[in-house]
Amino acid sequence: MSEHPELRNLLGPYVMGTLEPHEEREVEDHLERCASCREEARELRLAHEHLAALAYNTETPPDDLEGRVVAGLPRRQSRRRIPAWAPPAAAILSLLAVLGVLLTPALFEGKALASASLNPTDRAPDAGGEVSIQGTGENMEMRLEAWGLPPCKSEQYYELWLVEGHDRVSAGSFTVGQSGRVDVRLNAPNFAGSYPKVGITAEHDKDPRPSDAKMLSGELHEI
Amino acid sequence: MKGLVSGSAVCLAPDNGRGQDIIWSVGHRAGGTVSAGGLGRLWMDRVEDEALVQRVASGDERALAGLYDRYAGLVYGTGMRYLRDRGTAEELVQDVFTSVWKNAAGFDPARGGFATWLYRITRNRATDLIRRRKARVRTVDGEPLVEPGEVDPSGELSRNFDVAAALSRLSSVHREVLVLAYFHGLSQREISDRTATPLGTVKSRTTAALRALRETMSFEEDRWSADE
Repeated sequence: MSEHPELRNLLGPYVMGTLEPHEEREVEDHLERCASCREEARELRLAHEHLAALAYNTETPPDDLEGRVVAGLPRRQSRRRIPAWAPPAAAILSLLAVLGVLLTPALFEGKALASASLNPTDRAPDAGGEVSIQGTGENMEMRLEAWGLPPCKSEQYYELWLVEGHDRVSAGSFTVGQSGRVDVRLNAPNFAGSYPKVGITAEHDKDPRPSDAKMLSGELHEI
Repeated sequence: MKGLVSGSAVCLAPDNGRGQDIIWSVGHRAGGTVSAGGLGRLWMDRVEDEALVQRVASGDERALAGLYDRYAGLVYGTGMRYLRDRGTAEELVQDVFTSVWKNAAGFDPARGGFATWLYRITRNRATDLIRRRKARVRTVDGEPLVEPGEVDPSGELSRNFDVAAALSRLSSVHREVLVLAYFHGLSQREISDRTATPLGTVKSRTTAALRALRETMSFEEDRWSADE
């Protein structure tokens, strides 16, 4: 049966009918003797037939059609990225952090999918941080650890953003005390890992748009 | 055939054996070139359909473009097959993706995957377009000149959408060999040359890719009985 692994690897091209004649004969000889490879070939043939049917029923639209589709889309506003309750919620979150009752890592299941090292800007040259995205399905979390951030004054908070080009989606807000440190976990949209960058801004109002006060930024990399 | 293979995406002017170009999956641009927009959305190669729909719901046009890359060829092919008119097939594509854009927030993955949802939209819109045409084409005594065909009476189209979804979930290396073989009509040796991969590896990878596709596919034969 030493031929088995080698011939089994040819079963895909075999069911597609793309093997050289001598290879095809070898595979067929083997299939007569090997029940598991016959079953494998049957399964692969099903996949082949479905794929061939898909290819047959697929056609290229005109080049300009996508542009026409996009041009005809009804305009709509981007979703609101920070709800009115976010600043109070951030304050509560900060308080929980101070009290040390934040959920422990053991409660969070799911492997880290992406991470970013945060680099400082001139506004907070001693700041730094790490962001990781973890979880599965709908239960995605972003863990943020940052340090060296200026303590928040009254009505001030920080906001973590998923960044792509000019697109910004808020991943949550938080406050920082005298330590300048923060270690929080935020609910993340399950597409969070698809953004190439993250950033943190300092905010002081309920404007859903990010302010110009960029504090930290970094590139997300898949793990 | 002109084109290139780069990283995780295949960018070619493919041929389906019928002398027609096919657009397939992220990064596949008809004409053999990759537009700036195409390059800019290669990252979506790794993002599942359902995550893209969520981004569409938040107003991300590029996420819609990612879904367009994956499915527009199948929607257009559906139009050409059942509507038998290029202009109406284009109208179907526009209607379907506009519907995705407008209704993305209402997409519920608990009721089925994106491909299932898109299939329903496509079938319903194609049926509407057939009825509309039927209303226009009548004999003098009011009877339809040609009885319009039913969309997907055999369920084959629904399987096409299932397979398209399964293909989008494969790893990029597995999807690459299948796309080059089935959508671009390349032989195993041509794939080897095109991807600078040993021929033996291409063969074993093709086998593994078909196996992965088979494992990913899940057909629910009676799911359309509860259609909208």
